[in-house]
Amino acid sequence: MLNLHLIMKDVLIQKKQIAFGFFYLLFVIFAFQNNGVGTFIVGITAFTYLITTYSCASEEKNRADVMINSLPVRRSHIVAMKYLSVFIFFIAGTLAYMLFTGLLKNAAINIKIYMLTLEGFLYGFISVCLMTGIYFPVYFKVGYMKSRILNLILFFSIFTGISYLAQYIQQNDNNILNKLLMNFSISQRNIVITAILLALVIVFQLISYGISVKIYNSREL
Amino acid sequence: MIMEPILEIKGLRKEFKGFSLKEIDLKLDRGYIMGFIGPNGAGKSTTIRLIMNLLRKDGGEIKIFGKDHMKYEQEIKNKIGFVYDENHFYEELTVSEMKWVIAPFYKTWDEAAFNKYIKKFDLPLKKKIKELSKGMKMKFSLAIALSHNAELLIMDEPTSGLDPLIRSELLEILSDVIQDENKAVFFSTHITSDLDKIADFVTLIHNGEIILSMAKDDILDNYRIVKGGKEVLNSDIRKIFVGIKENQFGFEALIKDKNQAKRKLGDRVHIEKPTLEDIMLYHTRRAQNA
Repeated sequence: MLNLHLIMKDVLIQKKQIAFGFFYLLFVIFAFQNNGVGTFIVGITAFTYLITTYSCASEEKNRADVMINSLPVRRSHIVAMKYLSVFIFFIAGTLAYMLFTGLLKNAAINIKIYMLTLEGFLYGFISVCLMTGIYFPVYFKVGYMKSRILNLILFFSIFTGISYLAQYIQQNDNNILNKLLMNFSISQRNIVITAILLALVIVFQLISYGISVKIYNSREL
Repeated sequence: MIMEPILEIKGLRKEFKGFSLKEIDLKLDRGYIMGFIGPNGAGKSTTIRLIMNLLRKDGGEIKIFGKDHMKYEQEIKNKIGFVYDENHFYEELTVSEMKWVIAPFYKTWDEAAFNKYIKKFDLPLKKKIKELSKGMKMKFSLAIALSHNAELLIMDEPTSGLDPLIRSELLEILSDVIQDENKAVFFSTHITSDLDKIADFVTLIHNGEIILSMAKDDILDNYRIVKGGKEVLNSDIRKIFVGIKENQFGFEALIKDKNQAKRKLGDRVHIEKPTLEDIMLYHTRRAQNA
């Protein structure tokens, strides 16, 4: 059984943070105008980081683990809901991004807008999965306070890494990486490559989930 | 048909740095309230966390409703109501939102019962948990615990930090709960006066060991405080005491068997009934000197 109300709880406890996250997405659209695909990646990674981090902090602040684990629910479900919440917030952020960019384009405001493509969506998804897939096992092992430094390092690595990469691609038209990415862009229609990339990310998340469950199952509360 | 105990613990062990729970045993039958007493740090919360499978045991057996507490964890927790000493709810949520998050976990959630307790406890549904007083938080916790037809209530220091009026209200509610003879309450506290009125059984834990576990009436019937001059004390007499306090004028001691007190000390001492607090203090003091 999916305990989706555990995810709804994340929405209820951080209405303000979610609203701020949407504003932040809007800010990124304006502030990162010349970053192409980087605009979406930076925006969605920051959006998901903000919400995931606040959710983890709230669990620890309230020592809610003790209460949740006293209810008739398996620990593996609690972990699963944390991972699932990332996907749900990723989708919500993506839809908000598409809505904002669509509205801005129609409003004919003189800014350079990156309209989301499948390529951007995939990079954003990989970025968010990398961040949470590495972070969650550590969070389930040591809790929020002890893991927040890693979380911050992960976030800024991905944040600056992506910005640097986007800049690099734009400045070096003929480098190998660009060719690879170009090839990938051209082969967007190639469902096989897309499926392989998606499968790799999902396998990565599943491995991360398995490790988190193993860790959380033996955690003492 | 012999009914299984609602809670049965055998040889339960848990090791920590600097503290260990040493093969404890206890048993609680349906229809009774057991007070679990002991000084702070004695192992009460550790035992409760082991029962709730929040901590992983190092050895021994815990059976709830006659079933292994790990193997049948979900089934068991569906029938357990819990109240802890601290707030573990999300403070940012309102009473109503918190209930909305918790209720779907229980197969037998009873909304009518919850609303009844909300009214009875005068709980404001729209208020955030962080705006509730400690007493209100405990009442909310109790309302949740009583709204899913739980058969076993497990409470870890629920009265700690509460004013006497709310404590007394809580104890009355527990007495009501136990009118249903299919239910039981396991209730830890370091305030022994909580148990004077409501407990059927008392289990005393100290330094991770169960010092005594028996019916409260048997304890109060048999144990006695003896007071007298130091001239009656000798090594044989000292052996029959659970614990002793001495000063320059005389002594005061706890003895397990009132008949033994009369037999060995006769009229040379003054004998009186102890309180549960006396029993806890003398037992733990002796253990400290051991």
